[in-house]
Parts: sequence; structure tokens; C-alpha cells
Amino acid sequence: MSHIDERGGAPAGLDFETLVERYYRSLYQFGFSLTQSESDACDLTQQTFYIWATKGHQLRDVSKVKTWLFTTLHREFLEHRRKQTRFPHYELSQVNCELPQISPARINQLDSGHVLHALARVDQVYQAPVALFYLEEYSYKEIAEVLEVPMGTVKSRIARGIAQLQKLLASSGAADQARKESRE
Amino acid sequence: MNSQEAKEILVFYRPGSADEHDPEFAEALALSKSDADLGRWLQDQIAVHQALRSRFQEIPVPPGLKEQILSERKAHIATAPRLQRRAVLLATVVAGVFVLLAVTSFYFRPHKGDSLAEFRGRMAEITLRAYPKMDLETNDLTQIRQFLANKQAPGDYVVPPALAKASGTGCAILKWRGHPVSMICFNSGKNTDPSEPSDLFLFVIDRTVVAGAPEAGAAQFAQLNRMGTVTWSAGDKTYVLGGYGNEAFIRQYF
Repeated sequence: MSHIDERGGAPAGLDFETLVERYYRSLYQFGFSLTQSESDACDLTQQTFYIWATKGHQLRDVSKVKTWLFTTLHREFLEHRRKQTRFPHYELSQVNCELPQISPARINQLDSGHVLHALARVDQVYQAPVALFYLEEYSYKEIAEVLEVPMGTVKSRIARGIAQLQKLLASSGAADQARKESRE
Repeated sequence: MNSQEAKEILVFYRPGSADEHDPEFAEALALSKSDADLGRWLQDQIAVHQALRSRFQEIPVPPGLKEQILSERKAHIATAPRLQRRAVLLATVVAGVFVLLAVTSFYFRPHKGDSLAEFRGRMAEITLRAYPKMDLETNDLTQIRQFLANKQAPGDYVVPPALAKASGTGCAILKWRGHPVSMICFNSGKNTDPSEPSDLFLFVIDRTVVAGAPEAGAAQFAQLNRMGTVTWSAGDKTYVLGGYGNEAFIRQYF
């Protein structure tokens, strides 16, 4: 039987409602970046807080709450996806930093739906690191903790992920421009 | 450090974050101030980064999600046994409780009914959290049935005669534990919000998927927040009908 206490499993000084208030938005946005589905992102967010309510009391270091929540959501996502594919780990030195030419103005023409649609087309292994890179002011060490991979791996995944994302956005921009010119 | 090496470092640089004080970036940032090409490259990268960051942070969060999380927790606390919240008392009788739990866990071990409650709860959640998004909006019940069948969702369901008198509004295909669930939406005529006409939702799933599904003729009524529900099985299907109202309201359509 799971343990649920009055504070919702929170260590002393942290009540459940405060935690929800503070983190549910960013957790949902992270979940939505991964799933592209409102329903799935809601489920992941709710499940994360449910697990917190039942197991959060085991966390002794209060400063790790945010990382714990994001790690839990990511684990639940992976569990849900049950993807068995093994991904190669790249060393940082192998990463090519050449990013495609895309202007901020082009990105400002897009809404978040366009950007997330492009993210969904990025290799899956890069999606979570890229989402955390853009969503939260996490340090790379914290992103590595959330994703439970070495820091070098996180950096290489972010570099490759943002390169893929920007390439997709640039090519969709070029396609839009071509369509516009053909109409004219 | 040359310009190319600086770029390999600065590709990770996020202005306004902890990166600004990270010594790893210091040398590359210093070089960007003396190398005009590198400086322009960095400014472009920062502008693109900030534009993308804004797009991510604009992801809308569904209204009511926070309230749903908080209300679920309250429900769990309300159902938690009082002893569970009194660890000190438990400690004094731990041996006895251990034996008791061993005995009761044998006789009351998880059974098929757990799955039914979870299915019903999850379906109700979908409609309580926010007005559900439909894959097809139509009042043509035949078209709804064909749409569902074409998408490999349960389409050969039987609608209770009383419910069939309500107007169809559309349908959606959901998933529960990887299995398709047909959600057929109706308007009872008692709903006053024209923008959200559905107030009755019929969920249909393969009977074998839901452990503990009711036997034929043994419908179960349950109230989940503001939603009245009735669950029954017929043929090879299990049905949950939910509506915004109490048991009396839902009985009118069953």
C-alpha cells in the first residue's frame, strides 16, 4: 500500500500545493514537448505528482525536488514509450557545431505548434535534451541528472538536436518561401 | 583557442542563464569580443536561441490541470486509512499488522475489479479535465460508427435505446493501456453552453481488455466528481456512460 501523508509526501518545508503551483506548468510543457499530446502530457504531469505524493518523502535533499520531478516525468515517458532501441553515445569532440542559417525573424513567424512539430521530427533521443535546453534554465549538470546520462552525452545530444531542429525549421521556411513565390 | 573552437563551446551558451557565470564559456566569450566574425556569429546564435526559447515557453497549459492534480491528491488522502497516517501507532503493532496484512493480502489480493475502476476513472478524467477534443464532429450516428470502425476502434457497439434518443455530437478515439477506446459524444438537450454541446459520453472498449468488467445485467453506477457514470458489459464490449450530473441524470439514458 502506498504512503500518502498530509503534505503530499513532501519533505518538511515543502507542501504539495506549493510544489504543484511552482512546477506543474513547466512539467506539462516538458511532457508536451515529448509527447505532442495534451492528454498524454496531462497524464504524465498528474502521474508525476502522484508519484511524488507516494514516494516524495524518501527525498532527503529538498534542493533536488525540481530535478526529481523532471526525472520522474521523463522516466514515466520512457516507460510509457517502452522503446528498446539503443542509441549511440557520441563524444563531444565528434559534434559538429555547424548550425544551419536560420533567422530569428523566421522563428518569430512560427508559433510553438510549428516548433514542436519540428521537434517531433528530430531523432527521439535528442528531443528531451533539446526541450530541457530551451524550456528551463537548467545547468547542463542538472539536465544530465534529469535524463540520467553523462554530461558529455547530454551536450552532444543537445548540439545534434538543436542542429536538427534548426535545419528542419530552416527547410520548412524555405519550402514556405518557395510556395509563396510560386503563387506570385 | 581559435574561432572554430570557440564556436564549439558557444553553441551551448544561453544568455541570461547560469552559463553567464560558467568559467567554461569565459574564454570563448572573451574571444567573441575581439573577433568580429565570431561576435556576429554569436549574436545570431543568441537571437535564434531566444526566439526558440520563447516558442517553447509559449506552450499553453490546459486550464484546470492544476486543480485536477490537487483534487486527485485530496481524493487519495480521503481514502487513505487513518492508520496509514499514524506511523507511530503502526510501529507499536507492526508485527500484528504484518501478520494481518499477510492474511488479508492473500484473501484480498489485487483482483480484476482494480482494472475496471482505473478504466472508468481515466475515462471520466478525460471529460472532466477539459472539454474533450473530437476526431469527428457530426450528429450522424451512422457516420460516427463507420469512422470508428475504419480506424480500428470499437464500432459495432450497442447504444442504449434511451441514449439513442439524444443527439450525437461527434466522436474520438482514445487509448487505454494501448487499446483503442471509442468515445461517442451526445447532447442531452439540457446543456446550455452552445460552444460545448456534449454532456454525455459513451466509452466503448473490448471487454477482454478490462479486468473485472461487470457481468451482463450487472450495471454499476458510480459518481466521479460532477460526473455520474454507469458501467456495463454486453457482448464482447464493456461500456462506460458518463454525464454531467448525478445518478438520477445518468439513469435517464441507460
